[in-house]
Amino acid sequence: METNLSTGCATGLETLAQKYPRVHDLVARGREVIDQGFLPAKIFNDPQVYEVERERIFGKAWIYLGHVTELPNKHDYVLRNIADNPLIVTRGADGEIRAMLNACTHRGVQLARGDKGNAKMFRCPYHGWTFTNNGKLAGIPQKKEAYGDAINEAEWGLKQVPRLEIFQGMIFGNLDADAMPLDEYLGDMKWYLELLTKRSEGGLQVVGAPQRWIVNADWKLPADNFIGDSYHTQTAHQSIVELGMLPDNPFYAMSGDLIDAGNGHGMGLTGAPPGIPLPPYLGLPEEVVSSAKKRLSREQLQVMEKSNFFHATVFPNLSFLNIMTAKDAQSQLTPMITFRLWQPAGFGKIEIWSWCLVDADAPESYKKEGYEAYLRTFGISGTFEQDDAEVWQTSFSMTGGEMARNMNFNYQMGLTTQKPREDWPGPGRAYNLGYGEFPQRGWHRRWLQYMSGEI
Amino acid sequence: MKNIDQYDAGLHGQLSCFLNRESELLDNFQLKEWQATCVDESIRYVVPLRQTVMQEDGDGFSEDSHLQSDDWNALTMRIKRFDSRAAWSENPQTRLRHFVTNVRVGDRVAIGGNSKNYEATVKSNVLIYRSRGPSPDHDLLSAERIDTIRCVDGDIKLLRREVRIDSAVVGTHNFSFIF
Repeated sequence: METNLSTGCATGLETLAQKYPRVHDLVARGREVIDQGFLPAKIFNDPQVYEVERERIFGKAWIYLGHVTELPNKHDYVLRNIADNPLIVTRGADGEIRAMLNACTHRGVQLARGDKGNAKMFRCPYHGWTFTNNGKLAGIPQKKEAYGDAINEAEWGLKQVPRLEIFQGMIFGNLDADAMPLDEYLGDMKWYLELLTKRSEGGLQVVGAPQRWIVNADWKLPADNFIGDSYHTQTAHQSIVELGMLPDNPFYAMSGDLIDAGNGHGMGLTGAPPGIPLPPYLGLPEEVVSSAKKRLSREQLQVMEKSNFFHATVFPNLSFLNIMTAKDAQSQLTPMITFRLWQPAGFGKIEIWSWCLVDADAPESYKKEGYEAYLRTFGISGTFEQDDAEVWQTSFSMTGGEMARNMNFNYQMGLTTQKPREDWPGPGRAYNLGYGEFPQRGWHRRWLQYMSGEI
Repeated sequence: MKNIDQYDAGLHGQLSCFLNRESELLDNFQLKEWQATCVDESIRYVVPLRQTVMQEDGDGFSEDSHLQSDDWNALTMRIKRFDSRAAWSENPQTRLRHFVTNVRVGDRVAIGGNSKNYEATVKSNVLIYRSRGPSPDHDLLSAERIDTIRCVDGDIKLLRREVRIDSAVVGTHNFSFIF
């Protein structure tokens, strides 16, 4: 058995049964069948499920807000979201990063109106209430005449995201004041994130601004894809194989390990396919590799040396890639990094946020090549992601009806055929098989735990 | 913008005709023919990323980030990909329609001594209708295109196309088409 779900969720399930009976049935059934490798199809397509996710997933889990390099200067701000909560993320005069609801406390009108900018104050365009970029109410027009002494400004500051914590440049927010610390939440996944974030002195750096676009699908499916689905490459991306830009061998994506990192996080680390020599350390430039050798542990280096492709999801909706890919059929493979957020934008709608990142210490030519390789393969125009978006959309549009109500999806891959590696140098459970749904099952168990109120 | 008294009906007609012909190829997914007959090998095809910014912060078009940035080899790769029956984003094919309007021709710069050979900037507005599968819903994308064209011996080719899209969050699931 990979894991056992705890039994301490009776209250959470009971509340679901009263308020959201359809979700209760799906979650209860999911808990029964996930360890056998099944999952109710309708968890991906029911408006009630999304209702509950807004509260129990996006109201409780740590959600990625952005990277510190997007706010390099004091008073910089960017607009972000946690599900349907629009946020201003600011760097204050004190250098601290904060996140707050982008709504005036008087009538809720939008305060910061650009996607990014630099502002010490946000002045409401409705009645002129003015807030500092750390959220304090600093001014009310004609305060004396309008309110006399009746109003206490200290009580009317902006609604703060109760928890904001940063892991190696990655900013996360949590709407639950009682949530476990980010450090504990990321758990073993930190070891894997460090393979990117800690490998060079300068860390990672965001290039420009994020692409944002709408895909009519459920936000969980891309999270499920990036965490461990090396199996889709041969079919969904067959056109890229035909272009000669992926190996013409259905087993090539199996040359690696899949990690169930616990707490719903997971990753795939794939090396060079048999007979196809690829450079060690993901083809990273010498500057980054030599720095990694000083900064990472022996075990981390051991894992990184043999890798050419990383794909991962941090529960619930942040995925990342660090893969070698080519910008066109004439070019060599180049390493590129992308972070992507599967932001629900209503039932059956994802707003995808896609960032390109580079190692800050890498040579400029490498950064440029990496950005071009990213643009050509992932993002709205990327040749890979075009086909992913297509299949994710139809998975949603095909399962809207009652026929899908009692249907289970199959998550059996690798369940009975594989045991965790005992010689794996890193944390979590590693499976030496590129085709297996270990990380996906781990992600969905975590989802079931949140949805049934166990966390 | 040219003064109205310098309006050159012949040139305007010629370039409008070019834009309409290439739109027909793009709508019909005759992309190889489009690339061969309408595109110069030095092509830069770019869709800059656009954000919502305050008026005082400019027009929101990013200088360092793109939604797409292609050269000849990249376009060749994209177009060749559609030869595959497994290019799922376009199999079955999107029903696509370009509506090209507001064609504005900038200054014409002669190449060499021959006044028939020239480069010019042509701006146009484009509304793209996309419909896929059985859904009656469609995506609409509005953009301004800023093209640089070169005409040599009556043969017009695109040197550069910049697509200035009218949305910050793009309302379609991918760009598996040419603006």
